[in-house]
Amino acid sequence: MVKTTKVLLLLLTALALSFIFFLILSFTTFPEKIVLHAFRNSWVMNNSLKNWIEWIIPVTSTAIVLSYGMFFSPRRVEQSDNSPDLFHRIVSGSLVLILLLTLLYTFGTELLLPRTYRNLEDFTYRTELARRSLKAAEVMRAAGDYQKALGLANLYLAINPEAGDPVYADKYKDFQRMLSDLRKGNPSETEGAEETGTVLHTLDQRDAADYLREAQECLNREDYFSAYYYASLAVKIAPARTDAKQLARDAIEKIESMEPDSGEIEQKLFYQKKMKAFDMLNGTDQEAIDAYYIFMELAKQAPDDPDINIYLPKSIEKISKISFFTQEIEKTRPVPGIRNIAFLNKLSIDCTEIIYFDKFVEIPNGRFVEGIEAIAIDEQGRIKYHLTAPFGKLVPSPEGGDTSTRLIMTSIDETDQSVFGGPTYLKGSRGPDLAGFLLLRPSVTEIPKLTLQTNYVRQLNLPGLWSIVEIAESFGHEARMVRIEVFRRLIHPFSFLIFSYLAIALGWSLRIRSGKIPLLSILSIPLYPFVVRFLVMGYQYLNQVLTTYLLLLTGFWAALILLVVFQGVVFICVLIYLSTCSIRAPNP
Amino acid sequence: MKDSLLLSLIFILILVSVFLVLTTFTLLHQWSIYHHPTESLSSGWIAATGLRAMKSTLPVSVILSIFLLFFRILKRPGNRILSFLLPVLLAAGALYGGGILFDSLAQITKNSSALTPEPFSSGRIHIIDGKYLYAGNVSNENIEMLLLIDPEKTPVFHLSAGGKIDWENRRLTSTDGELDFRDLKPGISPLLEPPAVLKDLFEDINMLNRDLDSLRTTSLSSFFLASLSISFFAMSCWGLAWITRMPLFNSLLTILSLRFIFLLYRVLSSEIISEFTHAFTKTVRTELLPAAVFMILGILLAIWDILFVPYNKKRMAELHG
Repeated sequence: MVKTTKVLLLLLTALALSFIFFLILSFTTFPEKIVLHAFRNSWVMNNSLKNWIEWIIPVTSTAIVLSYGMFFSPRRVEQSDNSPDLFHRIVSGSLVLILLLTLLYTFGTELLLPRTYRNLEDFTYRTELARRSLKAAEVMRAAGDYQKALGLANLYLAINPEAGDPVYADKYKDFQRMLSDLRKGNPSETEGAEETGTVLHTLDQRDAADYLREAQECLNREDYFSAYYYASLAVKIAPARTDAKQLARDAIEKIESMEPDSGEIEQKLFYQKKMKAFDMLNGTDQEAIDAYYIFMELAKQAPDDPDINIYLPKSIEKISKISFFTQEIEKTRPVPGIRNIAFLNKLSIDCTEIIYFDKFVEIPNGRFVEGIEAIAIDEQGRIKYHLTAPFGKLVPSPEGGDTSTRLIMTSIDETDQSVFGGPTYLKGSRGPDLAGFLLLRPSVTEIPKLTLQTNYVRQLNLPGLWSIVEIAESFGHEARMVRIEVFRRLIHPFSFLIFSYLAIALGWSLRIRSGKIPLLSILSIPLYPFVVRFLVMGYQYLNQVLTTYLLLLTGFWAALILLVVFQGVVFICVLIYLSTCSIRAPNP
Repeated sequence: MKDSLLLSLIFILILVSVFLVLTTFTLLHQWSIYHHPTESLSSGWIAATGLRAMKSTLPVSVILSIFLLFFRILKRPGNRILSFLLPVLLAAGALYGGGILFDSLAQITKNSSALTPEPFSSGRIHIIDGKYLYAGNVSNENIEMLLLIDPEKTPVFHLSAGGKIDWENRRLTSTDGELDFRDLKPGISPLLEPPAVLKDLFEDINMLNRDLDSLRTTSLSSFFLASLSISFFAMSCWGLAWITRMPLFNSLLTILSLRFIFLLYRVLSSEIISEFTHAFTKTVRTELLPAAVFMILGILLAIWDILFVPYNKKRMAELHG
């Protein structure tokens, strides 16, 4: 293990110095025109880490080549020990060290590099979104649309809470004033943002008999409203059941018997509204939404009413299957998410259906998409329907279980019934029952993998890439591109190993034999990583071309075997070259 | 003398090997881009692409071979004058003769040189320059349905009923009008793009190739002069391989000088330099400027080499290790 510690020390020094170099470089070249000042520190750290990992092979190879070529003072080594196994004793420790470093490098690149790519991409996107929102807010304010201006301003502030954005520094104070004015005038706009996290219960799948039993129990304990509600549900599921209808009638009679005296008009109206809401809750989708707003109104009038406290959450539960709150969407706006998702949803003889999402976001409230567009084309190439929707919520499909997804495109406001969003059919239609949602073939976890962003593959590690390979083709994507990326990644550890071993051999062959390190050599050290990087890139690019060819020609597994064989041959050649160094050592 | 003659033979071997490797890789690169899962590429395409690949890799192969020859010269230097002149003449001859040969072959295969790239696969969404394209059934000349997905537009979908493909002019004619897909590259292309550090080198090499092509068509004597001056300059860099007693440093200088040749050619071919030269003298043909500069620099390097860099066999052998 002679000199291994020296190599390790030099290697660690080189790696540390290179990281410091990239840190300083990132700090001084921070692109404030494309990244907000608020992200500066995170951007500098991520960018430094990304560059550092990308330069690890050149830096490591340089450190090794310089260790053996300059800093070993070999003449002294050779004079002190002239035994024939000198070379082996010098390099054996380093060979083991390089094997360990290759493992570390592989884990490092797979765990850290994709994350840094993702973070850097997110900083750029969020900056663009924030600045675009600020500009739009100004336009809206100038046009007198203060509500929209406030929404956009809030989005800007959610992304950039500090005033240090130099691009908009001059406008910031003016903007803060505008916000303050708007908030004073519309206090409700800033309130309640945190209240949207109401727990949405999913309706359990029960049959008519269950509901009927529940209704009977409620009737027995004199909870007539609940009895009526469950009996109505049972009637809806099984209209033929007379016992359910009878139970509903009994519950109505009991409720009517509870009605207030004719003089108490307000109370009567309250009960009438409550009854109407009960009826609507079991009606059409639109009626269920209307029922929610009635319950909301009644809850304000009588916050302690036990029926309202039970049925308001139930109405939320019901409408969560057909719509979502616009307030939920607000939380997704600053999140970068995954963009440009498109996939072939249906491909049959008579229909081709293609879906596009501008953005996919996953937050604790659920998974949401923005900028929805869907088109279905028949066998003659005619459009069956073409729709767009601003937002949507993705939930596991009740029809298809975990393997497919329901895209809900109808949005409502938590409090304001006039705020309503939904799909716009540019051509054709899908019937009133299907208009507000789409059934998607991929599961909710598969959808983000169907992005068309070319740089997305860089943001995934190998298992992530592999999961795309498995589903890509069935959704109209080119799996070969992802496979090529898999191969590109596999070349990296081989390159590390080969170049590090080659560096030992080259360093030893080209070592300074005078025993002194000339000043010129010291001064030229910073140039070595650039030259080595150039060579590493050339080697990796040649490999990439070769493996792509093999992949397209022979398929994945055959190409993988050929790749390993090829790398093995190159590695053996390097080992042979290394062994010839031992024959030439020590220097006479 | 014997070593110098042997050196010529080794140069030819190195040149042939490097040329074959680079041509093969260029051909594989092109094949991968234009590969189609179901349809095989025509033999005409392979011949035309192979010829283009040979033409484009010849200059870089010659220059790279000269630099690789330096390792052999370090080991067995031979006669200084012969070891210098023979590779220069061989390299210039290869550049000149190869260029003319490939040009004449290109004339023969001209009729079969039409590319049949296949950017569309049936039932797939393709990524094309920031846009996405879904192609329905694709046959040789027809696409049944084409859906363009442009995230910058509203709505993002634009459906075309498909139509007839004109591969030569790369246009799709349908009832909706014409779609020009000259700029459309198959989705695989971005993944085969070279990294930035190599892209610059490839651009420099392409510029050298274009200039040599243009010289060959305008004047064969100018083309020969350019071939000779480039080979001469490349060979004049040999002294860098043994300039100091530090082999590592010498290697660094040699690799940098190899890269410098292409960079210098690009700078000399730039419009600014041409206009600058034209402003001073209108008699100099600007297309010959790079060749002239390479020749002058080569002569200066050779003089400096003769005067200051020792051509000592023992010293060189020691540097070789």
